[in-house]
Amino acid sequence: MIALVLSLVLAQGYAPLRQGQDPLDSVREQRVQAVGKKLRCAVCQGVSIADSPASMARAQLDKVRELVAEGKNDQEIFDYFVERYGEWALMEPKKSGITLGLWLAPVLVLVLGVLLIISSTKKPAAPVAAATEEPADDYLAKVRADLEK
Amino acid sequence: MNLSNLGYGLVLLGLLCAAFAAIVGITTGMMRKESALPLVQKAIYGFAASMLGANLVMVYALLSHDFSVKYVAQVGSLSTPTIFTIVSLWSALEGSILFWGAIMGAYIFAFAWTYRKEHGRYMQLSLGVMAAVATFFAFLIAGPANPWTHIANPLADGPGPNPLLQNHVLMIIHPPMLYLGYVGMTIPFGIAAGALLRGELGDAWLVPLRKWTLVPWIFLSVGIILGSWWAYAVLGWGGYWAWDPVENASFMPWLTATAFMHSTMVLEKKKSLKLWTIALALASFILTIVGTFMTRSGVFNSVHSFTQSDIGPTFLVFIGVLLVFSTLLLAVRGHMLVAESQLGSIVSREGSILLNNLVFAAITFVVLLGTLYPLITEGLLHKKITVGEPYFNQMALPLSLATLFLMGVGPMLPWGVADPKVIQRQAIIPGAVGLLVAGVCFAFGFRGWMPLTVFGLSGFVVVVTLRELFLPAQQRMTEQKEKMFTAIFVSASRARRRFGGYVVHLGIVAIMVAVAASSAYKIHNTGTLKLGESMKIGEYSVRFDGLDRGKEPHREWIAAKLTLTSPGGEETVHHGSSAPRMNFYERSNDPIGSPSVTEMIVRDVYVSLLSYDVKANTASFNMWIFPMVGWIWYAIPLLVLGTLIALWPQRKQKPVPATAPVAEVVPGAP
Amino acid sequence: MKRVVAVTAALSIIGFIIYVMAAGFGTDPHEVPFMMKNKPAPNFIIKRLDKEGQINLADYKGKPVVLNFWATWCQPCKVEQPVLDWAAQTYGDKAVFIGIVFEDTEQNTRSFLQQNGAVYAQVFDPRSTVAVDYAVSGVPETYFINRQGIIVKKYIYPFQSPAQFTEQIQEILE
Repeated sequence: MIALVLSLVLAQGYAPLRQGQDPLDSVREQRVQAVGKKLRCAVCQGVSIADSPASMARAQLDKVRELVAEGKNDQEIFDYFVERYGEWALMEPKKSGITLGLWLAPVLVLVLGVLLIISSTKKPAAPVAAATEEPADDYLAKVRADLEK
Repeated sequence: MNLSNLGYGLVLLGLLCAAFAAIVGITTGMMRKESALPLVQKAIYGFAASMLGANLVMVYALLSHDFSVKYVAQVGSLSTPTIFTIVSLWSALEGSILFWGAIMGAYIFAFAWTYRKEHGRYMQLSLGVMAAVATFFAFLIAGPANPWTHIANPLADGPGPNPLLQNHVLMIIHPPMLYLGYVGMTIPFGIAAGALLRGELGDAWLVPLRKWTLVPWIFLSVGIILGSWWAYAVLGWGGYWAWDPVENASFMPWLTATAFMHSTMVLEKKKSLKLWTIALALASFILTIVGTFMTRSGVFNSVHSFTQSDIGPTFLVFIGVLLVFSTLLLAVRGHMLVAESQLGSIVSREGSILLNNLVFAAITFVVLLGTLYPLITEGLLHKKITVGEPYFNQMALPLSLATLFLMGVGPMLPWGVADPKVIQRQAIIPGAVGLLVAGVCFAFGFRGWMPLTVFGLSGFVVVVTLRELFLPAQQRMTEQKEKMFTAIFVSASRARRRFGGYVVHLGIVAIMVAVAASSAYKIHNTGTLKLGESMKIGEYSVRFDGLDRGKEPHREWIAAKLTLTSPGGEETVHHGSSAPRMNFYERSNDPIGSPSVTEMIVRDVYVSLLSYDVKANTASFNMWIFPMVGWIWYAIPLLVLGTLIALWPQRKQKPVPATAPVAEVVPGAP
Repeated sequence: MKRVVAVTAALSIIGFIIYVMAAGFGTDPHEVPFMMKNKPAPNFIIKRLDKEGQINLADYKGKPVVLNFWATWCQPCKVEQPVLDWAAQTYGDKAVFIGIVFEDTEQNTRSFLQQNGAVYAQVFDPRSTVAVDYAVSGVPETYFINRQGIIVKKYIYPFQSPAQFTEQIQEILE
């Protein structure tokens, strides 16, 4: 019975498309679009409110416009949406708390990788003769000869 | 006998053949009884034939609108055009897995047939492992994803396939390409696992492993690019890549397979990096299965997901088995994979390839982590988070710049230890050209460190690559007095992989330049226009000429007629099918926009309809100018050409023909 | 020894990844988290559609409020309409019922109400601004607001029986 989970997108029928508010002046409108890119649309599938054609996304972008027009800074706008939808609303995860791992782990992997590579290659300073294309190795030569058969 | 029984019977036969081939292949292979090979081969042929047969039966059922077959009842419709009826074979979950089975059959058959005269010691085990994978898919088709269920009282008509599939011609080619890429990774997995099981890790497995990775690699590359083109041309949000879980799922095996292609060079030259290379081959396959799980389990939130189904748990078990099997295999045989020679310094060819592999591994890690992280926080802390485009873009940017840099530096460096003076001498011209490119771009008013770095590095890479491509030919021309084309052809055919690889590099550079230019210098404008009003977008102007509406059997649409005026004052009218529109499909939950894209070599003008008001006769638009974005898709021929050159079989002891077979192949390339 | 450590580490990572993905099975990837629980209900002053005048939520301070977001094009909304009408008649003296139409046109809504009548107050949210303030993530959604003006919970499914509604409303009646 409760399996009838319905949301805007799953419900039968369409919301009539509604026009958003007119854009603000170009400087502020750029901010609206940039902030909109970083907020997740509440009724779509993982798309930002700046990218979604859904009518609810227009409404959310209008809200961003309204907050920008009120002179709110980016952080205050993000806070408005986080207050309502949690961190789920942020397309770009915070660089703190549980999502800090997302930002740090790749750096850690890179550092470990570089250390591993440095330890497995020769020091550039080491005096070595120029490497030969084919290592002179009896065993290898035999394997090669075997394979040629 | 009805079609359901016939089709299901064929699937069962395929399952039987695959299971038989897997059991016999692996057991006799482990016991080293090579006499059993013909038996395994026959079972493989049987699997391929029955899978192909089952698919033909399904296509026949779809074309004859036999609604007593469950799958036909689910996706078929009398009003669907024939081409889309055939395409609907893979438009829903069950059919796509059946189609998967046919591709699997074709691949394994091709592999078994190519090496039919080969010694049994690797073949049996490799074929056995591939057959084991095939068994799993045949089991899926026979059980959890069975499309054949017979409907006793069928309806007279069905709902038709997913509307998104019918929206664009690219949707006909894109999914099969991806499937060919995904399924093809079974072959390198089989080869690698077979060699590991056998415990003989000489060189014999390496050449087929490389070639059979290159085949799915190019299909995956083309499939991914076509997919992004489709998203760009159809979805109307002005992007081609959204780091959606399903896109990520196709990207990850591509990354590991690319890394693999490079690390095999170190393996061949230096007999080093064996464990890592084999692990990459295994990982590429496992990631394709993980990707399939992401698309089909209903656990991930994505535009591309199939509807929720119960095959998820089965897949997860399979992923678990594969991962544990691969880990244990590597653990048991790891000691046989130690390096046979010492690597040179980090400033050497192998050093650059090691760094390349690290970067590719890091990108794979970022993509995997970002895709799984919401599941991790939800599973462990019941906290829902989003990892979206901004995260992936920020992480991928420096890593992609690193690959671009390495693409230029790597080919310049010799194997072993480099002489700093030689490197300096070699780097002067490409380095100067790189700086010049960046400088010229700056002089022409392009700003921003990211795009300028990309352009500069690209100039550097192109010069290095062209030099590598044509220096041998030039030498032939002076030393052997050959004509230019002969010299190019002879030098290319003497080192096909090298030559092919560099051609692919050029394609990748084109893609990177296109991505950088189109994201850094795009121009956006949005607004609502009344009838006859115009709006500026960059130096172009767009006039709204009124709304238009129409009805087709499977959809209704509303279009906004436009006239586009170029900076030169030239007008193009977009009133017919090229007008941006909003499509309303009966089965779709959201209206699907079709933007109007005016493609030009240097830029695209992209207008999408956001909303409209019929009464007031107004329409709202989102419009963009994307510089050079088309180069992403125009790079496909370069990638295909390079891959074909690399794959072209090396003729032994025969004079090189005067005509170029490679050139003839290009038009028919996938 | 080193190999044992490596294999154990690899296997535990595998186990972890499988566990995390398996944990995803029960969940709905489309579910949107709801953070307005236990927060003050955002105020709104908007036009009524069932009769002349406006509704100011602040006027109902001290009374429990049932706020139902719906739209005329939404089929499940029609399914739950009889239940809500019954509820408004049954609990009308204890709680305030407000229907709020969003993602729709005023004309559609007016003709719909003319045809079907309105048992309780109906208002219209032309730009879905109230819906955004309330963090609505689908339709229909019903918010339960207590006497202190605090959102106690929201119900994101259509009500299919009076019993379902009765169960949900108890908390704000206390």
